[in-house]
Amino acid sequence: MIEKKIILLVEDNADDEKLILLSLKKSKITNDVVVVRDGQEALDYLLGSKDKPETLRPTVTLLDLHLPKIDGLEVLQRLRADERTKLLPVVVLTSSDEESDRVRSYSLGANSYVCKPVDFVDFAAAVRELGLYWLLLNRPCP
Amino acid sequence: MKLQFKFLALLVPTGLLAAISVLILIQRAVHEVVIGGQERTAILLARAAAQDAAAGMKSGSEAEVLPVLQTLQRRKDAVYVAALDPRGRITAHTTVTEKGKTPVDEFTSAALRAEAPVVQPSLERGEPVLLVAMPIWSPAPASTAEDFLLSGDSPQGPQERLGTLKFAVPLRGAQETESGIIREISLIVLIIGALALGLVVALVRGMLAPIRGMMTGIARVSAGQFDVSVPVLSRDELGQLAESFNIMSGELARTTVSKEYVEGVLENMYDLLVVTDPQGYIETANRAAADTLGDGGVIGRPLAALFESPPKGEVVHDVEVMLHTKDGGLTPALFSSSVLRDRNGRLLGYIGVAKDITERKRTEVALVEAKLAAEAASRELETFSYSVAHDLRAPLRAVDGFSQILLAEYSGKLDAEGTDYLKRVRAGSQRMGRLIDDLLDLSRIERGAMTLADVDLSALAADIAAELRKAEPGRRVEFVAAPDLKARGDPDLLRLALVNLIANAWKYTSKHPTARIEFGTRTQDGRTVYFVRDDGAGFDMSMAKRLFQPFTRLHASAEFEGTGIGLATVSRIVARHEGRVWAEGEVERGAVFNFTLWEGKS
Repeated sequence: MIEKKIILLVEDNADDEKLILLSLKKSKITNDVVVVRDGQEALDYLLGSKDKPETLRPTVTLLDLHLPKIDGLEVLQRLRADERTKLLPVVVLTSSDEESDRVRSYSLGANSYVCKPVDFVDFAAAVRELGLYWLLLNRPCP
Repeated sequence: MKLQFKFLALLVPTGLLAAISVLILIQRAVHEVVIGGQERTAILLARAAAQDAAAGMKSGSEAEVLPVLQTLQRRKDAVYVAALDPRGRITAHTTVTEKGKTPVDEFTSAALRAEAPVVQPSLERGEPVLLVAMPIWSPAPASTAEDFLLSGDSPQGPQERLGTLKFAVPLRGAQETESGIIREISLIVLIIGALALGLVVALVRGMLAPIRGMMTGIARVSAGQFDVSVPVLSRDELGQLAESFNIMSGELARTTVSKEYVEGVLENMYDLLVVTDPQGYIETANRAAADTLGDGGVIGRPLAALFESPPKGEVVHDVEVMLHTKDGGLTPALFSSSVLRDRNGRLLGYIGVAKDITERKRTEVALVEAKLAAEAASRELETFSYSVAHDLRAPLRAVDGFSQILLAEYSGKLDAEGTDYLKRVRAGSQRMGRLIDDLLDLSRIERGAMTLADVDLSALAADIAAELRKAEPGRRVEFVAAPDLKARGDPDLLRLALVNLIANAWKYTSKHPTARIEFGTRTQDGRTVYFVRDDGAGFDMSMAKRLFQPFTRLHASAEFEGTGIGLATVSRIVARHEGRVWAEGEVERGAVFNFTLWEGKS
């Protein structure tokens, strides 16, 4: 039922990656999670590149903002500029609670903005909520 | 004509007239005394002689008459004495050769007709003499001595005219005496007159001296020097006048700026000042203007020529212009001008004032540069805060997350001590997380733009209290918020301030079984003071000031959790709302945190 739905995690911090994956696992969310570690990889995955055709669309993309090579906000901008990914659900998941980041994220078409809590209990809860909401509750654009 | 001469012109002729009148009167009196005396004695003697000679004349005896004549001549020192018969022929004469002659002069014919003695001054051989004629009458018949005494010297009854006694008394001595006396008196009068004149002159000069002093004073006042005082020399009207003058000049000096003062101000002012004629040609320039402006002088040139491009309009205020300078350059200036009119509104010219703003321009550039630098620094700070948020939180999350996982999933492999250590690791990381959050809040207060709105503080406080109650439902805290407290401010910031204050109150009452927290206002010095009061742990008043400094804590973390940033945040929020914050407290008796908003505005 949920096998085909995959999550794209754009995260450069290995610790955060591990914690997110652990949190998802603890929440019994067993969907495939594709992890890319910088902005360029994320764009390559979603829009394809010279060497590699585009792959399976994720149900939701969890996008960090501070990323090597290409910044998270730019990734978002490019995704929204492309017909294929214009309406793709993108959740910004970041350590930053800066107002400017929130404003720019929503302006560029982020579907949601979640600040990573420092407390792991809160963090795990947040990740679980996100997974359940975007994978089960949310009905994406066809 | 000078007043002094007017006085003299009046006084001198009067004095002269008086002196002359006095002299004339004196001369008359002297003449009367000296010459008149001569006449009177001559007549007395002549009458006596006429009686003595009467008998001789009647008998026609020359020998009888001549001794009488000679006696008279001796007594009166006469030039001559003669006896004439009624027809005028000399019957006897002290000069024998004259006998028998009949003098035909006017005096003699008058004397022959006159029945009374005749006296007349005359000249006898060039010498002044007094001619005296006395009729000789026949003696009264049967006259007794008594009769003579009763009848006096007037002839009684019809008497026969026997002839006339005529003689000449020399007058030179008497005249010399007279003129001598007159000379002396004249001299005295002259001296007195001279003294009087001198006195008058001195008096007039003395009288006019204060007037001259006043004239000098008035001349100085006219010249624009107001602070003049003249000496008060007397207590009379002139003295009063001088006093009045001094009061007037003092008043003028006090209330009026003197010409000298005004010129001094204009000359020494730093700003450039020029005054033109009605056609706009410069007539006057102060030193600053003359020193800086116009190559080849300023006076006589059109005002417009001073500018690179002249400002439009007769009256301008603080227009930025470029002025041509003496050295051929241009200098930036603030220029103002106005129209100069006389009392009747007639155009006299224009006044232009310019302020050299080279220095200010330089400062402005420096300010802009400083502002840019500050903005760059601010951006840097923002970037720094951003990385603090992101880069510090991520590792903390790892520490917290993995220690949590260790606790949850590996507790079986850890003994109690290991578990305790892990718990401490977690607690530490969580506290650091809060610290970072608070620091970011604090820096955000300074950086963010404020959005002003009317904020319902009562509702806000109730919300916050409800949240706190929800987090710790077991606490028995009475929360009282005064209704309808509204304030203008940034809603987010005011909320943050109230959160900190009320959460603090909540926290510091936690050691008491029951607590009361109150949010309200009171009026102090005409201002609304907001306060949050609790009955909790309180604090030592000596620490009251330090409370609002960041990282300052009065309690150990083990006792009360906290980062020491909350009140610093409140303080900065209140400061951004132009208010003050202060605290009052007593250990174990509670604390009151007061704040005001918008103190600058009434």
